[in-house]
Amino acid sequence: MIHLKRTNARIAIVFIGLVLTLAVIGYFYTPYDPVDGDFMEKFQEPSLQHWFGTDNFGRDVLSRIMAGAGVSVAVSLGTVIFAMIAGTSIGVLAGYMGNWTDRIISVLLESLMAFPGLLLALGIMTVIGPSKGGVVLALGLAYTPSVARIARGTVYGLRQRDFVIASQAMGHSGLWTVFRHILPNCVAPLIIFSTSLFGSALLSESALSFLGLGVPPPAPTWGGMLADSRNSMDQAIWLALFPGAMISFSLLGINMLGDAVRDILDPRMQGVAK
Amino acid sequence: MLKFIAKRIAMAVPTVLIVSILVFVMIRLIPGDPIVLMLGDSGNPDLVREMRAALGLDRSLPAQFIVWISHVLVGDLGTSVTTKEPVLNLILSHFPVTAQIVLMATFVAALIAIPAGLLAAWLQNRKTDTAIVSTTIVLVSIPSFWSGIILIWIFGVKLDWLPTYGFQSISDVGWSGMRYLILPVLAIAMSEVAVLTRMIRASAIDVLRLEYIAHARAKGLSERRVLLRHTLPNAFGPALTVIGLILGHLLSGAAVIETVFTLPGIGRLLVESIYARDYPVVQGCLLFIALMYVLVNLIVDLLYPLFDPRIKM
Amino acid sequence: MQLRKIMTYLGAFLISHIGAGTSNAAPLPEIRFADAIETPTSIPGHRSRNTATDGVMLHVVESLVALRDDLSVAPMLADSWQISPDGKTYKFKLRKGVTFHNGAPLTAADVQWSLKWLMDPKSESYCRNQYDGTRGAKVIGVEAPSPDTVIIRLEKPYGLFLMQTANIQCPLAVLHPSSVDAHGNWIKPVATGPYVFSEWKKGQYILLTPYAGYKPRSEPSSGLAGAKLAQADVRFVLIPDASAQKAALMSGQVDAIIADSENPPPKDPRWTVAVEQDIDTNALLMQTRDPLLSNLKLRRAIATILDLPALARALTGGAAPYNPSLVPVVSRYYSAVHKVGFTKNIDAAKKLLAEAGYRGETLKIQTNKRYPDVYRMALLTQMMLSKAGIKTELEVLEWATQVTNFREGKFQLMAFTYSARIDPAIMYADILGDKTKAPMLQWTNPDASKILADIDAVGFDSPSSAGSAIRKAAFESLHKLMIDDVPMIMLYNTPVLVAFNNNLSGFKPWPLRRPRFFNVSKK
Repeated sequence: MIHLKRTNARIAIVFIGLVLTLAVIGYFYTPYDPVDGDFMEKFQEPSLQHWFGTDNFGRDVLSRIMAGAGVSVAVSLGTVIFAMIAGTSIGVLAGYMGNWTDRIISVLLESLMAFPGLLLALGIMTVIGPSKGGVVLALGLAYTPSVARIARGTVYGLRQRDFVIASQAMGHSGLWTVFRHILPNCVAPLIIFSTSLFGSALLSESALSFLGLGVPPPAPTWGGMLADSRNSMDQAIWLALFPGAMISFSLLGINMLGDAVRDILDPRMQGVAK
Repeated sequence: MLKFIAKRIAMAVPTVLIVSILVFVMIRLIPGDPIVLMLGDSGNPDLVREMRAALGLDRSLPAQFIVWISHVLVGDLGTSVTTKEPVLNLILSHFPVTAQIVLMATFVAALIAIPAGLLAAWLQNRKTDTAIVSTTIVLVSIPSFWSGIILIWIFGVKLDWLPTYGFQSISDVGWSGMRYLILPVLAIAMSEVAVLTRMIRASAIDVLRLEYIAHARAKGLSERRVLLRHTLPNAFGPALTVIGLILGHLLSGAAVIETVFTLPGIGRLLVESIYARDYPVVQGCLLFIALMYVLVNLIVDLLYPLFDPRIKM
Repeated sequence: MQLRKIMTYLGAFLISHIGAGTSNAAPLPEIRFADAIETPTSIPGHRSRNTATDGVMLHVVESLVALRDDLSVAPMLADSWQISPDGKTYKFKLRKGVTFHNGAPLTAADVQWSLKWLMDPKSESYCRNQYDGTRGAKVIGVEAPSPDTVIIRLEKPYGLFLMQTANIQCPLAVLHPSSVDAHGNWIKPVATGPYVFSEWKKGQYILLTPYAGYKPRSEPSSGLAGAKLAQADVRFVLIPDASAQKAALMSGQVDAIIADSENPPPKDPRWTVAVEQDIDTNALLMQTRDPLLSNLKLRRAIATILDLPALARALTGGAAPYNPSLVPVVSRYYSAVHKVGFTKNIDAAKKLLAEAGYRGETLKIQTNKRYPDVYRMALLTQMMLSKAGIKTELEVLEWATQVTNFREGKFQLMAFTYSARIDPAIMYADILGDKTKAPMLQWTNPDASKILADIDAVGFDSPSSAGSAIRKAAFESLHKLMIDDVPMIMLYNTPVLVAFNNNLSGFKPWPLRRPRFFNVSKK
């Protein structure tokens, strides 16, 4: 059992490590310029010169994948950080304060959640215009309500616990109670959620690029490459295979890691002997 | 029961109102309006002014909102700026497409996920369980728009077995309409099956641990009865929530899949209306979606106690 | 065991029926054309119209005159016409024996009604300002002295008047009053064309059926003029996705598409990909009111640092040449003068950059992803400029945002396609003028404006008339001035690739792009 968990975690770390390595290398070096293309070389099949082939502008696909790795990772990370900070603050506020603060915030959160996340992000992107920061802001805002909900739920449960009541009885300020007692206990569920959030952010960023409103070209993104590949599907299927495979690969690592983290942090999954 | 429903509906009203205000404001914040799109690179300022006035866009934002909301309250969602059709008609003709596909995909996914999840939980940590869990992780990592593209390529372009675009309603053309549904349903179901299986497995494991299961076993009930009569109904509860969430999410977020498969669903209608700045359609659609979301949540909350008697309404 | 049997039968039953219903055995052959967008209206020339509207309407409605392939004016519902020496009165002699789709005979009163309806605010016409004096002509009277004579009086002579009435974007469609109901609300077009507007399923298709009572003209077919025979039903099918259109053509589900030049259907005996030079203009716009770009030297440096012929070649796959002029290559006004544009000269360009005081500031090129041609233009331009030492950055916007910026002049550089104008004078008029009053314009030059204004009244019945020669000279002068001023860089006229099934015989593309399906039969 433990062996299995460790194996999964190991594989996950290898996958994620590969992606991160690709991202880092891609930042400094790519075999070809990811945004420059030799028009004479367009639609080349994967070969020794171009391991992943070239696209409709003659740009090397491998180089674009490598450069795109950094973009995707950075944007997803930014989104998670934004949503975590914003969501936790709001959720803790609502959960701790209770009463009208809680009610108002809850209604607002419900409204935001009724909004399809991708469309909210789309709307925001259209208003601010395509940019890396814009995508982080848009997706971060879209995910904040989910984080807030979890935080609020956890805090609600904690409010009645002994150490919280004791802290308040001792006269400690609310802020101190929050930081010393409440937040540390939220960490576990939030960490578990952040791994799946990272995966969702990566996916959403790809979807936004797919719809044409993600990180602006010519900077390569995996979702954007996937979107562009549709037109030439019958001549150049490799343009769709590689970016999609990279997205799946990264998500696989993240999901496996998330599973492993949950297994470790959640004692209930120790298993039932039959 | 009725009191519960009434209370929930009352709570939904501010939500829907906030959503409609948010939508109204946001779509107008976006640069560009429908007239600019219609005229493109020609048309003089007089024509622009005339057209703007004809659409009521020359009035102040609050005034426009009041006009719109007063129409909505009597059931008039307005007319599309681009196609001149009543928005309600557009929604009612596009929504069934999305619904068909989403429901079918969820059904197919549930059909596979429930037995798979139960099996995995029952045989936890044995080879079957590992195989199932590994498969779900792989499936959940494959974005549905990618699997969609690849499916189109394999079955549409290379093998030419299925159409690569479009939609024909079964009510119009009969069974041959199914051909348009197979690939999108497959693409969506692939991801959904993974999520559902994991969910059911997790909650089934939870339940199997519980004392009354041990009690049932001690009573001498067969494993099959334990699973079907006792585990499944209780494990299904959380899964029902997840299904509700998925349905709510998919009903609105199917935009990407509908783009890949060129389906005239409500997701695509929404995305294209945003691009076309077709304000009435965007507002109407999002209002509709928010209402759907509230409704789905309500139904899930009502059904929950059926599966978990511990929860009182 | 029982279950297994049932499943097998059920499976077989389902599979056998899934294949059914794919072939439509229609009594009349049906030509199917895939359109990427849908028309929002069935009113010809309505202000919400788009290119799909034009494409459908050119089969259904007719005007007094029609455009030939070379965009000259030919008789259609008018057999002949006379223009008064002062250019203000047009007298048309109507063709005999023409009937509307409802069987009613064509009379001068119907022409009168049609023009009145076009001018009526209820028609919400896109081109009303072509007839009310805002632009060009001002119609001050329409008379029908006899059933086959129509007289139209203008306030001032306007050379383009006849051509305007034949424009496919907003034709002076001769309609029967039964096209509207008793309250003046539109029903559907009841016109004189070879096709009847039969069925419109919104979001899916428009079906046109041949008009049995149509009497084709005797002249050979050219453009929208001459003999137009309807030999099949025509169905305009909505398929927004380019790859889906291609797949539909390749699988025989549609008979014709406008192909993506970057990714056309591969060569195959089943279909033909025909290239036709269109009259859309693709250009790199430069905002002359921008602090950096107001410097002529900088603009000229940009124009001469680029290898424009190579750029045009790369963007069109060699299908269209570099065209430095606003006058389209296929226009009869196109001459050797128009071929003279900018020649690449890196040394001279670098000198100009230095003189302009360019210090490596970044210039932004606006573009969008919805129109691949425009996007590619921006991308390649950006790559070329950056390599040559002029720092540029792409600003990829959503189409609606870009159009808004275009109309308000809010850009530095912009990749843009101007849709076809049937006459160069109209194109120049849409570009030339006072930018402070109309930010949508691109070029301010009083001398050029005067040249353009001077040919306003010049009529040009036939290509060999004196009027044509005057106009030709004027366009040449305008072009030379434009090259001097460098307000924008023209690149090429869009080559249109029409891919059509080889079982269509008689199909020919033409410069106004919208496919014509009359005189086309399907095996």
